[in-house]
Amino acid sequence: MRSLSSTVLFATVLLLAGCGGAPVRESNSRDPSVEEARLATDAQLAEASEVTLWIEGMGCPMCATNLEYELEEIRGVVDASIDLKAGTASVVMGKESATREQLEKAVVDSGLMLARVEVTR
Amino acid sequence: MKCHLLGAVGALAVGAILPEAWAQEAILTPAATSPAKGRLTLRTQLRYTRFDDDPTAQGREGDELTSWSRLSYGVTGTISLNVDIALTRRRVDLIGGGDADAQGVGDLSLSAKWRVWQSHTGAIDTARFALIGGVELPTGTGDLSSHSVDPFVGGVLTLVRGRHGVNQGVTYKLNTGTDETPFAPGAGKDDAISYDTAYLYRLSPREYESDTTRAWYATVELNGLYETGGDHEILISPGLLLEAKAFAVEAAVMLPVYQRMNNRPGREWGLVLGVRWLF
Repeated sequence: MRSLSSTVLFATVLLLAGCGGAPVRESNSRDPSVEEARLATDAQLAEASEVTLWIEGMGCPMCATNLEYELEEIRGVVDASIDLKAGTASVVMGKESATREQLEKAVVDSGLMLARVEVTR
Repeated sequence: MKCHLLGAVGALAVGAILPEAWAQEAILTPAATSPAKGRLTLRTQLRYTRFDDDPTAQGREGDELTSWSRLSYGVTGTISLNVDIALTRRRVDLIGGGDADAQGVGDLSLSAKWRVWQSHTGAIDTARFALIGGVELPTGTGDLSSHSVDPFVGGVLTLVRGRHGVNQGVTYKLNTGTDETPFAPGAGKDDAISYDTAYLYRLSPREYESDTTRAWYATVELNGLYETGGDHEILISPGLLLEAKAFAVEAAVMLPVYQRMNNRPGREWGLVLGVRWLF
């Protein structure tokens, strides 16, 4: 058992060293100039049928699911889906639109941060 | 006495100097993550542990099969409440014959986790710190209970960046009981300090895609337990974790890399299988 422990420990150190290279950075286009043109005003949000939320801090698929559930509980939200690659949440509204405050609260209640809101449609 | 302290320190050092290292909740190490407000998570683990090398006159050796469960509820976006309970079947052989077998319910643990700080540096990347506090109540059956109310406090740091993750937790439990020769780790009269370090590496996908719904992780943890009566164990626990959108499955092996036991048997090896659900 001692030799097995040593083998596992040695292999683990090798694994850590091997994996310690430059991490793969998640691709995430957040061009400020584009963002300014598409930032949603409250009036635009009220008329929107779909908005895109730019989220920060989603560490994993289950973390994203927390947000999805929170968004879908907002009155007026028909559907919410998460794009881990882009770091966004697409929120489809029904006849009644969610407010910016409601959207941000859902994000905060999920332990995440809302970077900005864009009207998609 | 098993002693691979240099190896353990080396592994910790490697983990500490890894560039930009980070993660989610590992298998045995706590994390500074919680369910969203109003959400429930249920974690269940089946743990098998083999014990031997009892330094006391009882010369105990045996094994333990435990079904451990934790129910967590998100009170707010930063605070969660947790309830832990375990069902255990323990087989203990005494030197010279006889046994001290036990089976039943273990002590109930109630705790709260409060995330006091977080910093997000990207869509996925995050750093968080949470405080943990709670109490173990003597609800257990016979020898499976400490027969004392034992409060505990601690903190945990979670870092995630890209494919890498690190969790670092420390917990201090004030044991108010009187058992001088407990069988289970941290269950005696001495206070117990748990210190855990976990490294997670996302095996797949290499990069998240728009439709990513699951991820595979390799995990390695160093789980240390120091008791103020002098017992001290560090275990290395390599594992595998599959995380999907609303559930996860996990498996890990526990192997001792350092042991100095005065009052109870040491852990020879262990196996953990678990599932998690998000409601």
